Amino acid sequence: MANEVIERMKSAIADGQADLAKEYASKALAEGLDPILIVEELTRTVREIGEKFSRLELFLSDLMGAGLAMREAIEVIKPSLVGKESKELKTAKVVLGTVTGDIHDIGKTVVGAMLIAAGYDVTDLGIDVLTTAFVEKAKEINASLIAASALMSTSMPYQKDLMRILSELKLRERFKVMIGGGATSQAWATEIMADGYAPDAVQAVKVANTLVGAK
Amino acid sequence: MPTLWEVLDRAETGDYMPETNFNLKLSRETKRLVKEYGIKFDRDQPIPVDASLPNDVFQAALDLLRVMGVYCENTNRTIKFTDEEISEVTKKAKRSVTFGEYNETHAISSRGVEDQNPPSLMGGGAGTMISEGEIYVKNMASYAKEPLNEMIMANTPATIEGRPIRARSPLEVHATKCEVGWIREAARMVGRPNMAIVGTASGLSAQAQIGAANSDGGLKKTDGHLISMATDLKTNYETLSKVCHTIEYGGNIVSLYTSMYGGYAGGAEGLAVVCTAAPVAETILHRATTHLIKAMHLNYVNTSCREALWATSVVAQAHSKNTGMLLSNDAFTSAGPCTDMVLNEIATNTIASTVSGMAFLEGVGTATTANVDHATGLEVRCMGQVGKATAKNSIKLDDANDIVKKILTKYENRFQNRPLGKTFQDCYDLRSIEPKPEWIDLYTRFCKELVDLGIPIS
Repeated sequence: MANEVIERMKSAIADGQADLAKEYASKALAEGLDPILIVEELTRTVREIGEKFSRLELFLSDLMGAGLAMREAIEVIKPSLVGKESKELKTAKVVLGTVTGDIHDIGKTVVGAMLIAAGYDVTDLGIDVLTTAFVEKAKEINASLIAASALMSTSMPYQKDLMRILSELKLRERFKVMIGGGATSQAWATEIMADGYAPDAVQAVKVANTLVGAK
Repeated sequence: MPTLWEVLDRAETGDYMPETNFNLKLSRETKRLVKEYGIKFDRDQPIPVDASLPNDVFQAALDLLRVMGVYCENTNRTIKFTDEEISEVTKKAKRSVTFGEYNETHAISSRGVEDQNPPSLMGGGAGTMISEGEIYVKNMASYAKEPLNEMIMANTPATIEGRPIRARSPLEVHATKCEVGWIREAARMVGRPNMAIVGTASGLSAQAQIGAANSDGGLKKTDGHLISMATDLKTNYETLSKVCHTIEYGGNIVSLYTSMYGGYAGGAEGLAVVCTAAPVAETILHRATTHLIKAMHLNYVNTSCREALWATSVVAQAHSKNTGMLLSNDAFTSAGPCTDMVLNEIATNTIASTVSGMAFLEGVGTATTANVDHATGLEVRCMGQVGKATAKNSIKLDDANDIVKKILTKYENRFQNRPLGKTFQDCYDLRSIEPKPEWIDLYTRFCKELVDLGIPIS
């Protein structure tokens, strides 16, 4: 019975059905299953979807739907996790967005979905995000990582602004910063002294793991 | 068709919806329509020959537009269109639009599938970043110098006054004005001062683009005013401000729509449906008269892979058969100048567009446009000559499909290790603005291979 509930919960996640995923997460707890085990099943399912997405065997809406459903299901389980530690569920919070002057959405959204699939708690600020908004949100939620995307060359200066402002506010040591986007490069990340550069969403998860994954 | 003011009213009064919900609804509805109309991607037909497919995709696209509308990012509301408005636009779309002045007046006109009239040519680096000043002028001159090129598509200055160009800053306004001035200087340098410019590339903000549109050295009414629609089926006040200005100024709006294979549109089938819907929406919302469509692969960031070529061909056939709207593929390649791969990528893009009924050819965004100075005029020569040879020699869809499949085998396993090639300075003589022998030799060998494959390029 417990196995069947877990399988149904995983199917609901894969289909992006948040309400069903929540329902089966509750049932799994009611069956007496270890909440750590439930979280591990959830994250494993979404990670598999993320891997399929990286090969484009599945598409962005599949990944987004699964990520959102997982987030809802985890909210149900969270109270039962107090005092327990899951190696799958990272506590690291990420603030994500496309910097000022840039309205490109897809690349940043893919990175967000892949980070969620990897177990991160992601706050997506959207597109055309003010530099100060990244900083304020990161302070507010006590984020570990700021991920800032720029697809256009005219938006890259705002990534540099972000690094400067963090330094001037003496917050540089508090947050790790990862940059990406079509206009950027490792050389640019080095120049502005960002902590990491990711050329694509798969690499973004690896870089995030290196920078804050252990937290 | 609703007035622009009615469009703005709808942006304020349409259904409220968080953006994520709109994105996921677009995916769901596209998937549903792909299934309902039985639309299927066939890897063996990068140029599909099924006569009913374009019509099915066209109907699915209109259904999608009816159910989705277009999302306004500022108000978080959807702008919906009536059946009558959609029907009117598809039936009364402009079938010919003129750009340029005097001896450089060129009309872009509707073309049919397998049309023998060659498509028009709007050639440039499609926004590739180029070093500012003298190099930028000579780079743009390399496009203006190509005799088949009828309109110049702007590249992006990499810096301005030695400084990074910052979006929405005074420097962006200055860069945009310099960009237009430099392209005009390039056209004058090669004896074609009246050529139309299509831009701007460096200034995407409303203030920069509006500032660059003036009859005193800026973008003229007879130039192309580039206005992009946000992915997927979205608009915003910045874009609509550009539209408002350009309408009152009297310029022709060239729209640009990008959608991703693997993104919210889904697979190749969904990509074709969404990209077919976009020009209809852009005509109503953005008053566009000509349309650039970029059906792009999410991982490869090009339009030259099999899935993107298929979607591009379907979009072209769908509009050619049903609306006569003036469309082009916004060709993006993985490889850069002075490589065999870039020429082959251009060839597949051009053959697919030409035989499928695109009204004009536009590009080439080489090396995905992100590598400074990696774009040259020879890519546009290739595009123009392949397009002309394909049309003039009555290449049919099934022949084109066979040829494109053979060319695809030369590069489709190289996307992950693409050659970035050489910079403009390395593969052009900067005094004569002509390709250096290495680049010309590569092109000559490519032409011979294309002749052997059945495209009698001269």
